[in-house]
Amino acid sequence: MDLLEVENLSVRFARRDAPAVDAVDDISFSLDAGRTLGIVGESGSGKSQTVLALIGLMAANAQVSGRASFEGRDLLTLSERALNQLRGNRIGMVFQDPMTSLNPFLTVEQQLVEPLRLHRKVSRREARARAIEALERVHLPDAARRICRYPHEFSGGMRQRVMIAMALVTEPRLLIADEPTTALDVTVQAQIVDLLRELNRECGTAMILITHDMGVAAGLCDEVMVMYAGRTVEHASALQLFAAPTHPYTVGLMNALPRLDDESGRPLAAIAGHPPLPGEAIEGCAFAKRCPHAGEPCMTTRPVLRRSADSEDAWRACHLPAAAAVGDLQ
Amino acid sequence: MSVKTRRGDASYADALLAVRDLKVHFRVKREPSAWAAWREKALLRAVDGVSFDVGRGETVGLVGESGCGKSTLARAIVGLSPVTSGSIRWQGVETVNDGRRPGAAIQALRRGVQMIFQDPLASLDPRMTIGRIVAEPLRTRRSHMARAEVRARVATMLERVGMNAHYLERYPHEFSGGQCQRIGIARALIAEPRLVVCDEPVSALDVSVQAQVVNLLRDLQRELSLSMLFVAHDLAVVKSISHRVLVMYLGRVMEVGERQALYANPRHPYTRALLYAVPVANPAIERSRSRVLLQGDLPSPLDPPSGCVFRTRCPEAIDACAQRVPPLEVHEGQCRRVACIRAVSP
Repeated sequence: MDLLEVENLSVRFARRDAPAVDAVDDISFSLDAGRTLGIVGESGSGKSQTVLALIGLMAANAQVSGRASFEGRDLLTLSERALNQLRGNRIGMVFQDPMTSLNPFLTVEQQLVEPLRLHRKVSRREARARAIEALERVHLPDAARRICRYPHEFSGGMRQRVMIAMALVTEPRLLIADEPTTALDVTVQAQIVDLLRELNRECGTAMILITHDMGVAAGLCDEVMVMYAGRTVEHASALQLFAAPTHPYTVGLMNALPRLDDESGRPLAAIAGHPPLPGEAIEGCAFAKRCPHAGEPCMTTRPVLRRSADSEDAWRACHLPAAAAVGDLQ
Repeated sequence: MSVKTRRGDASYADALLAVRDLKVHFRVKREPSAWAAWREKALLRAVDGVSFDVGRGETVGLVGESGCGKSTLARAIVGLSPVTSGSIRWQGVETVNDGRRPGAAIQALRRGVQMIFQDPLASLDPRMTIGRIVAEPLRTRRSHMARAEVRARVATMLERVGMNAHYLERYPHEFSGGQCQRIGIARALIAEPRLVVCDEPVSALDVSVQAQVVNLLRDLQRELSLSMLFVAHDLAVVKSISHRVLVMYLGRVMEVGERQALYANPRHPYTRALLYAVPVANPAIERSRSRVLLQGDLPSPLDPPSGCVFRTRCPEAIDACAQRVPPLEVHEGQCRRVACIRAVSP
C-alpha cells in the first residue's frame, strides 16, 4: 500500500494589490514505504511549498487544497494537535540550512531527547541512550561526549548529521529532506549523500528529497519528479528519467548542466528566457515560451500529466509525442 | 587554444597579472571553543603564499571548498582585502610595497581590472537605475566623456549582454537574478578592462540561467580577448570556462594545470578527491560508487596542520607529510605544478 498519496495538491498565496500566486498547481504523486522520491526543479518551482503543505507549515496567507493521505489519514485536514503527533514522530524533517534550523540555546542532547520524550514515553536515561545511538548511526565521531555540546561547536557537515539524527531518532516512516546538502561543500555533500542512502537501505525509511542538483537526485532517488512553475512536468524512475528524459524542460535541464566528462569545449546548451514570474498568468503549458518545440496547443491548452505510452511508471505533461519533444539530447 | 601561457619566474614581467608568494593574514579573536586561550588573538592565514600568473587573453579558474581562501585571494588582487606580504605585479609593475598598496599603484591596477560579484542583486545599488549603474565606471574613469556618448555606450553594452536597452530607467529589483548578473557584467565591461575578476558569478543562479551567463562570459572573453580570473566552487562550471585551473586548500595552492590535463589526470590527492565527490546526473554511475574518498571536514584555518595542510584528510598521507610544507613543484613539463611529496611524474 502507498505510504503517502497526494492528489491534486495546490497551494495558492493571496496577495494584496497583486494577483494570487499559484506556488503549487495541481500536483499528484504517491510514495511506497521504503522508497525514495526526488523532487527536482529550479528555485520558485514549488518543490519546497509542496512538502511544507504536507506537514502543515504554511504561511498565513496560503490556501491549500487537494488531498494528501499518509497512512490512511488526510494530512491537509488534520488538526494542529494531530499534526503535532505525526511531525517529528512518524514524519521526520531535515531542512536546508543546518546553521539556522538547530536551536542555538539548547545542547544537541536536549534537542535530540525532545522528540523522544514527547512521542515515546521513555525515561530520561533511555532517551539519552537512544540519542547517542542515533548520533552513532549518522557516524558522528565521539558521540557520547559531544552530545552535550551546543550547535555552534560543530561544523556545517556535522550539524547536518545532527539534524538527520534528530529526524531519525523516533524512527519515522517518512523522512522529508529539503535541500539537505545545498549549504555544504562537495566533499561533505558526498558524505551526507552516502549517509542518507545507507540509512534508507538499513532502516527502510521512505524519503522525499528536494534538490536542485540533478547529481544528488541521481545518487539517492528511486524515482524523480521534475517541477516547473508549480506543476509536475515529468515523473519517472530515476534510471529512466536520467537515461531518456521525455519532457523538453527535463531535456533542457540535462543539457544545461555543465559536465565534468565533457571534453568538447562547446558552449553549454542554455535554455533561453526565464521561468514565469510568480503570479504571472499562464495559459497552456508553463514551459511553452522557452520550449524549442512548442506548437499551437502548447500556447493555449494546459497539458495534463499522463502515463506515458511505453512505460507503466512514467508520467509526462506535454502535448508533443515523446520522440518529437526530446530533440537532440547531447 | 591560441593562448600563450607563461609560467615560471623568467617570464615574470610578461604576464598581465603576476602574483608571487602572496599572503593575506587576519588577526582574529580565537574561537570560543578553544576556551583556554579565550582572549588571545589568533592569526588566520586566509591566503598563505600563493603564486600564479594570468596571461593575456587567458581564463584562470580558481576552485576550492568554502574557507579555502579563494575569494580573499580574488579580493586582495583588486585591493578589496589587505595584503600582508608578497607581490602583485600588474603588467610588470609592482603594486604591493612592503604589504601596503600605494595609491598610485592600485589606481593603475584598478583602471585595468573589474570585478563581478556573487550575489547579483546585492551588488547593484537598489536606488540607482540600471542606466546609472552601468554608466558609473565611465563617469568615474572617463569624466570628460559627453553625456550622449555615455548613454550610447551604456545602451550598446546592455544589448551586448543580452538586455533590452529600454530597461535603462528601471531599477534592479525589477529584474531576475540572471538579468541582474548580466547588468553586473555590463558594468564590469563598460570601462574596457584587461582583466575581469569573477567571484562565484553564477553560483546564485539556477542551472538553466547559469548556462546562459557562463556562455555569455565565454563569448565576451573571446570577443574582447579579456583575461579572466574565475573563482568558483563548482568544478564542472570552472571546467567549461577556464583555460587553466588552480586548486586551493586552506590558503595554499595544491595543484595548477591546463584544464584538460588537470581534469583528465589529477595529480594531487585533493584534486582527485574533489573531482570524485562531484555527483553525476547518472544513477547507474552514482550508485555503483564505492565509499567517499574524504572523511571529515576542513580543519580550522586558525590552527592548520603542520607540513602539508591537506594531510589530515588525505588518504595517501605518510609521516613525512607532517614534516615540511611541500613546494609547488613542476610535473609534466612547465604546465603542471603539484604541491605533494607523493605525486610522481609519469
